[in-house]
Amino acid sequence: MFKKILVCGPTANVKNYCFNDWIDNVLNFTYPNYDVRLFDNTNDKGENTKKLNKYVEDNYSDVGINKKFFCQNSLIINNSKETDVISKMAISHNDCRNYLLRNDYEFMLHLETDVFPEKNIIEKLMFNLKPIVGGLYYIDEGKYRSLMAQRVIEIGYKRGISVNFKSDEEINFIDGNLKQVSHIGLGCVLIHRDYLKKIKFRFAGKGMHPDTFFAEDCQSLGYKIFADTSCIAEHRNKTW
Amino acid sequence: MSSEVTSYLDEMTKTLNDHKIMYQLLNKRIELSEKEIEGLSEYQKNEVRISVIRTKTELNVLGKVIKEKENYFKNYFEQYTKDLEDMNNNYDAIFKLANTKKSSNLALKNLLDNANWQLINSKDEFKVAMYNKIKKILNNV
Repeated sequence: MFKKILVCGPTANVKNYCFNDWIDNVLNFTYPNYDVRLFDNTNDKGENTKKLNKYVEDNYSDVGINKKFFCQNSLIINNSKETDVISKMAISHNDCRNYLLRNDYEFMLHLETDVFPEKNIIEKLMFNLKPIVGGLYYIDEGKYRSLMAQRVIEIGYKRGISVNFKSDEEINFIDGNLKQVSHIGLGCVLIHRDYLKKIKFRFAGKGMHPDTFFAEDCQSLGYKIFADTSCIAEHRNKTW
Repeated sequence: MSSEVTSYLDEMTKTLNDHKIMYQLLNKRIELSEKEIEGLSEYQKNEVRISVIRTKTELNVLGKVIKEKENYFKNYFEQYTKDLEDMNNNYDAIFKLANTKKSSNLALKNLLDNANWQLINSKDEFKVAMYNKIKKILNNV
């Protein structure tokens, strides 16, 4: 019996430029037992949510895989004081978490709607037998473009800081093996439900993303985070 | 086109070239390992076979990284080419406008007065970046 996986993430109308390609990729994942649930935080009284559901209904119902998918509004958004992108993301991350915990999914593949992994991503990440394991992708632009993963460097006796990989370090890090890291992006990460019971996604202003707090919370609870360096996903985070 | 500060285009080209050279070298390692395995002891043959498996894994993932970086670089370069053309056509007009407006716009004044123009003028890529910053501020005025 294949373990039941929830593929989920936040979305908003600003990501519609790549939604058609994204959903086509995700609905064609090769793993046999998964559902896809998106939490839409567009502040438009559910219009975008309807549009996304209709698109999937119109284009995938003939092969039946539309049933795997459902998008729902992050209802809290419309009434919330939290209006910045990071807060909205954290709220939608928690919608994903709460939905998983209310249902019988064993793992969450948290996948953002501009990240395109290979079609066998679930099998590949599951094969590592780790409760928290992510695929790799790049973020930011130009000189600031870097892997969405960090490792700890020692800066003194019993002190370390979590830092990005420099571009000349990547070539040694990405060798196809499983590596322990200090931080992995929430854009493509598999998390076991037992670990999600203990960790809520959070934000606290100052421009820090929920990814950073997730890594911190894992560290304080003694949970190890791994990166499967054989999984490189495309990150289509802009339209050029 | 020489400059002490390397541009992103130069860095990216170098990184991609290094990755491609590494890809060729890893392929060569497999070829040489398979060619020279005869005559080795059983232990050495075993070690070579392990190395071949590891190398194939590295090749697989390095191929993905090269593809991802090439794709990004292609998009970046296309955008840069458009921006460069825009700058070449409108540089004088935009700078004239910026200099007129800087007395009433602090962000513009700080940007124009504190920039390292010697460095910026040394490379089209830096010039385009500055041109885009100025245009962004002017669009928000």
